[in-house]
Amino acid sequence: MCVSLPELLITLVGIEKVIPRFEDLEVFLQLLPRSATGERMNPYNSLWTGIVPGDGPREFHVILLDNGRTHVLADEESRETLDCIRCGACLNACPVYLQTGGHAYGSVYNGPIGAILTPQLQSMEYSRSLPFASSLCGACYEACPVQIDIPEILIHLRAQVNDTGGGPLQERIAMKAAAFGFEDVNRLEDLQKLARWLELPFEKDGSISSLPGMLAGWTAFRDLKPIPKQSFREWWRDREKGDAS
Amino acid sequence: MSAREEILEQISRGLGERGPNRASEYASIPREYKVRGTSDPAARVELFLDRLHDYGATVYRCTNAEIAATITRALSLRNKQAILVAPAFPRRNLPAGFTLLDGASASYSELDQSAGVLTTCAIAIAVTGTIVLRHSAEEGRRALTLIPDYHLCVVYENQVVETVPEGIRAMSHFGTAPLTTISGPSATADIEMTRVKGVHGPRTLDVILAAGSL
Repeated sequence: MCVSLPELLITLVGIEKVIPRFEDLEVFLQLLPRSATGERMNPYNSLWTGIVPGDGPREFHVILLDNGRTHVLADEESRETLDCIRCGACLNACPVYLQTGGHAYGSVYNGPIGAILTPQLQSMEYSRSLPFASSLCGACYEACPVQIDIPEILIHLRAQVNDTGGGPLQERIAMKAAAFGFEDVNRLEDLQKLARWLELPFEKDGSISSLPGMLAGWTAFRDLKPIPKQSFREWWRDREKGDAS
Repeated sequence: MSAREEILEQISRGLGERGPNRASEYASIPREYKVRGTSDPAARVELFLDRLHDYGATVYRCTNAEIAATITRALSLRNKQAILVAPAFPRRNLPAGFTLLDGASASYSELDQSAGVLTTCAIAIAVTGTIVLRHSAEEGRRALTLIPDYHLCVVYENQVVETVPEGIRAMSHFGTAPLTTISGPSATADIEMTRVKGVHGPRTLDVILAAGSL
């Protein structure tokens, strides 16, 4: 009704929405309602070709919008993001979306498709955390009627985020430190010993319930187990010596 | 460089080398879905009826000669004394004893105040229970079937195709006419998943399914 009654109609069309022929509507008008609302057909569809004297708008403008879409097209690995028909089936399937809701995605496109579409439309400059807000369970891929491999594209975008500076500074330092620690077994064991000593003031009744600084965010909601008194490697070495407990 | 040239250039750069024969590439797209219907005409009409009932539309069946009498019945059951009529609705099928208003000249607010509208349709699709209007003079302009709250539509059995592809292929011959497809009385689900009626068009849809042809 809102496109048929006013005198002026301006339609904003993303360029990926253009389909080759009128007959191809038979594909989309069957896929969309079934995947979106589970209906056989949308209750109302309006189709128009320009203006019709005496019927509906007297002025009609179409704005074909690129806004980052050709940028997405140029990336062969994530190009299929543009196949999206906006049915929302991936949203209904997504365990992350079901918990967070749409506003958490910071864009009109939410859920799994938003997590891959929004960062790409913004040329990876913003929304750099979105590709990481997924457990990669693949429920969206199974639900998608046009079979966009969302988990694969999420991984591709994660790599892009890392290749272009990575996450926040603290996170990058933490990751560098972890890489340094895990690089060498003797170094790791020394760090484990150091950590057992450092955690002592925070340990109470076999668990750590409160940590200082940035780590407080973690312990505000969950307890940590202290590092075991003996690692598996230490236990194995003792066993070889013949005095395993 | 205009925005159009810039976008087109970025598209061809993004897609890289394209095959020389785009038309045959398009023709070879696999279409494994059901295109042609397989039901006989009686089963096709039954399927259409089943869908209309499912959507909550009231359906009357009659012969070609009984259309005017059936319109009388439908309007009487709805307690309607007056109705808007599409400009070229077949005269012979108009009922007697009702105030028939010219749908062509009514303003939007007159349409809004009206008791309802009487039209034919272009085609119908059985599997989705869809009525297609191409807004010719028999069906009236778009506003005529969008604003009133009651739509009485005459569908001939030979206008009913079975599948959506059959419907779309028929619609592709309607030229540049505006098209409206109606699958049951207008309804939509809001964000709370409550079904709301009358959002895009009439809340009440009655269909007269007439044997024979227009």
